[in-house]
Amino acid sequence: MTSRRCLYVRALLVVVAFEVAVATCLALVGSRRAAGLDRARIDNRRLVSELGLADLALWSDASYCRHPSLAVPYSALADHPSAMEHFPAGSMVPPPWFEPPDRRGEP
Amino acid sequence: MRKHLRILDHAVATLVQSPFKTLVVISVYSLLVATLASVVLYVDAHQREAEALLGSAPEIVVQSIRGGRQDLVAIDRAADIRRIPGVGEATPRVWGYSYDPPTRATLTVWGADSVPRESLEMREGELSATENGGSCIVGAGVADARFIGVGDRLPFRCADGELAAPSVAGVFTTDSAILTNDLVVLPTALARRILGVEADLCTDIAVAVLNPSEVDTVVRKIQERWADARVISRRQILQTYDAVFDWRGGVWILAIAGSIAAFGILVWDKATGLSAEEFRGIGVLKAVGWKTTEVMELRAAEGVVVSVVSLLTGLIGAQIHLVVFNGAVFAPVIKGWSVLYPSFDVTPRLSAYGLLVTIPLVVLPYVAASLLPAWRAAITDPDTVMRS
Repeated sequence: MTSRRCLYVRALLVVVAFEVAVATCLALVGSRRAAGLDRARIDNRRLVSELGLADLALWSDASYCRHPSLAVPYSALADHPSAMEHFPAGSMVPPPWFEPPDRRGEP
Repeated sequence: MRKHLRILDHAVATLVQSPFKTLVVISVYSLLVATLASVVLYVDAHQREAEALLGSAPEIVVQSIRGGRQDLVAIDRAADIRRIPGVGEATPRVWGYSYDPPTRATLTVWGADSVPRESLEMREGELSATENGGSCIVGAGVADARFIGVGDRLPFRCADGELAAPSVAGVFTTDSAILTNDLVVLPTALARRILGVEADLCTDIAVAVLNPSEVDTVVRKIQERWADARVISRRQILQTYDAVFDWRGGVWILAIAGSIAAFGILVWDKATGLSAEEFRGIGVLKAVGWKTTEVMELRAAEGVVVSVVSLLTGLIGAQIHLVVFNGAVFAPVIKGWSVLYPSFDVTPRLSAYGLLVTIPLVVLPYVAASLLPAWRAAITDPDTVMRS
């Protein structure tokens, strides 16, 4: 009876060991692939340094999406008064947070 | 030790006795872990990539704001900035955008006098500006969209209405597409003609600071000296990308909020009560002499077994999704899209950060939910439990 019951724990250990092995293998494959990109990353860093690039070329729809770090925070709304931001990539870039000035002391 | 092993054995046996229920719980649980881990690791990989690349971005970028918009900067200002103590170099830059009607894409026009050779796949000659155009270097996305290669011409309508058609002297490698996909690098003189930037003006000024700890001081001095100056430090550039990818990850978490809620209901269901069969089982254990702590240990063991198996299955699922399928499910939201979209490879690594975020979100609530009703049943009189 005892040996039959121990089968459950043994089976559990086999399942867990198998899953740990698979997860470790996949993590190693991921790490090796990431390490393979290091050479390209060194070249890219040099390119950034030499050209003075400040942004990733990911979303080229509008200037504030192409260069989110250099864009004036309200440039998305600068087309005309009460303009709505209208580029799809812009909906994924959060508006900057401004601390409202404390005007309680003003007359 | 032997007793704990027996309790664990009994816990696994209990789970195996109701295989369908256990499989459903493990499947839902694993799917949730896989989704959460995928989002966390994918966002983390993009943030690390942005940090690795933009870590060599200009320490300070100085712009000019007029009428609430970015304006061109007087080139003389670079010489004044250079005189600020602690500033190593101040380089005026000329860059801007040009809409390309055939592809309906916006190209980034960048003025430079040289480009590192390692970043180019094909190169013929050097960058040069001539009366009718000169030469340029284009990103892989521009080359693909316009079906052009080295030796072909890329026409631009200049700000003065004239046509400039520089020949393509080189194409950036696809490895650098994350930075250069929509980029057209031209000699500064030609970039000025296309963008309409006069010789005494520039788009912005890149500033190098000798001692990194003095960046804030230099920023303050520039802001005090020129009221119209907008100064962006490298730290702010990196923070921008952290925020952008965090926000995009948040959008995905919002999209899967339904499944998180479903899991919450499952956990709540477990926390609020046991099935009649489970209740009776605990009563029998109590009647045959199990102590309250042992019943609790049994239930905790059940929760831990389900959690460990589900966590590992979920992590395997996340790794397969990210490593084998390159995060295909989340890529459109996390990476975004545009007319000229770069193909770039960001391989997420299984990190302690990913595990530390995922485990408390799903494992702890589940184990706690297993314990609460068991404790209620275990402290009740066995006779009452079995009769109820």
